[in-house]
Amino acid sequence: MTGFGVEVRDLTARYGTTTALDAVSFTLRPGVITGLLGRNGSGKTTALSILAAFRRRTSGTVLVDGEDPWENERVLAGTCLVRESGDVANDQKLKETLEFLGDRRPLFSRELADTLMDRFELDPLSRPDRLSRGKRSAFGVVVGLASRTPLTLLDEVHLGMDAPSRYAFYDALLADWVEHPRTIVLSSHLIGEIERLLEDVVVLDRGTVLTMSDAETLRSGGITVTGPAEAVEAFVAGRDVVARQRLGRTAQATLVGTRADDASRARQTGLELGPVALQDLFVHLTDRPAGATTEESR
Amino acid sequence: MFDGRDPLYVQIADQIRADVLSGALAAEEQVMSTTQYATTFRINPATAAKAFTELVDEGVLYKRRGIGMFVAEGARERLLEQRRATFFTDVVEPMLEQARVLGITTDEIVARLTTGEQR
Amino acid sequence: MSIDTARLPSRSSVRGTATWLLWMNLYLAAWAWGMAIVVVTGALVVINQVGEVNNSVMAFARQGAIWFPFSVLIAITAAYLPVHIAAGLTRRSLALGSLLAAGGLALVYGVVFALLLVVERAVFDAFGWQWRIVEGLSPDSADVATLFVSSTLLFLVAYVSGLLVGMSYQRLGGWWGTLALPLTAGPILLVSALLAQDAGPFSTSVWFGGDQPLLVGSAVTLLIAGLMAVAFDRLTRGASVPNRTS
Repeated sequence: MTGFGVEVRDLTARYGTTTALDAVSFTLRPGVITGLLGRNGSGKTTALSILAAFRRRTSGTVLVDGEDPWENERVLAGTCLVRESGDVANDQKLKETLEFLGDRRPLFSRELADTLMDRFELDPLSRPDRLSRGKRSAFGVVVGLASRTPLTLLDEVHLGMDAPSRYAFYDALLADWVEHPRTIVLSSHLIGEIERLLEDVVVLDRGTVLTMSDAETLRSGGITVTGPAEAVEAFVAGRDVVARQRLGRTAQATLVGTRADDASRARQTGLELGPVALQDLFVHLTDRPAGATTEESR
Repeated sequence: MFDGRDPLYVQIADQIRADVLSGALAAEEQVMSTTQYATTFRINPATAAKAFTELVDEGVLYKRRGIGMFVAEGARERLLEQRRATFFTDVVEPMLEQARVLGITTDEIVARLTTGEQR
Repeated sequence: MSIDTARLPSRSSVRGTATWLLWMNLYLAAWAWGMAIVVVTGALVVINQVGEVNNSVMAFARQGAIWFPFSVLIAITAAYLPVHIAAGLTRRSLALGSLLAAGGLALVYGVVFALLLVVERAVFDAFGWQWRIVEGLSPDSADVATLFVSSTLLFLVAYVSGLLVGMSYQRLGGWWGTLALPLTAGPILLVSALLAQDAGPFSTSVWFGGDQPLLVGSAVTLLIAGLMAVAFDRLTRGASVPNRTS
């Protein structure tokens, strides 16, 4: 009862001489909220554009709900990509755009759209070309959620929104997902806030897939160690330290990879262990020469 | 909230267990739904649901179809029993380990425990 | 839910697209023709004051009826592609819907133009003015039926041309799109010549020595429109949605 699954195999996309995606493979589980993470220019938008048939692929296989999305009436009707630029008629009233989509999207909910318009304080009589960046993004969210498509792709939509709007977006997303489970992709290079919303994570870097797993597994792949500087150094000696911070005599180190005796060792030496933020792991993963990390994660 | 090192769903389950143990959640009392949990704490609903499934499997919670989740009769007692069984390995032994590192003697600990009890 | 959500759009998206585009253009057409009527009436009043009315003024509106929707369609085609695709619709429905809309629009403009000529002629008769069409705007022998057919065909070619130019801009970018402009506007002149009419400043009416049999002119015109329609369809079905942020 869940929505479209996605399977991407050896997907390559080139623009002229630039290779935006280089033999990328990943899957999106149906009915799961997945984070597509990557730095700017990592190929996120290109990948999503191909899934939604906004553009053609150069080679490789893309299956959305088991079929090639290109010119596929059924799959496209169930796929909605919202980009930050917002692909809506710029010179039409927001109200008219909602009516337009209501006529075309089989599962569009005008009720949800109106509720969200209120929550984001969007005037239905306004037009996209008269809105601020944040309000335009908010309208993109309205379109993306109210379409209730079995595959909803939200490409960095939350970045331009202010904090109250972002929280309203997260709340609306979760509440509506519970009522109408579907496959949702949130793409971003800022992970902190959306980290807990995600069940799965795909990390793209320079046109290749670095990591693909559920968020919990990825997060549990690392720890932070906090305590007296010397004790911390002794603890992390010989291990993969991703980040170090120091405040006076207290230090914190972020480690990738855990060991069974970490907890007891920390206790013995009076150190505190903490969770790693996905954002830190992400920065670590994408901060290396692409070749080295790719080999490791495969 | 929920910024510990354990997986998120484990932390959620622990939180509810703690509430049952402390009596904040009484037997037959309805607990927050997965949806409420997910939206209140902005957590992936599937992750929150995992915690609830675990608690149902343990017999701490039970489901009433179409109504919601409730604290099971005797849940607190069962949890107390479990916690008592693991109290020494989970709490006392690590404490003694720490005490050894810090050079605190067993007598000092006992003295402190005794005054603690009197207060 | 998957069976439910995977269902096809509830109505033909080709027809939906055509209807929507047609309504949008008709909205603009209402304004355009309203203005044409005001301008023509004003011109008649002025000419009647300073001299003698002996030519149809409405006949000049045909140039407006060619080039106004032509330019509107260029703009709409470029701007509407992302909106259409983002609404989960196929390029096929965009291509066929646009062509249908262009055809419908040509018919509406043809009918309105012919009707206004008839009305104008009745007004002329009532005032005792001589009603004729200035040389070069149509074959000398033209009656209203012939004018209707030739104008509608000319409008059709112009509007399909507008679609083609718009999509060329979208596909090829500004420079190549601009270079494609004469190529795609060319057929409008060619068809004007075939139907023995002038196209604005160009004396196309005499290119082929004036009067052609309407049947021959119509057949060739439809062929040209068909070829452009095929080119538009091809371009549309391969179009990418540009990324406006980068």
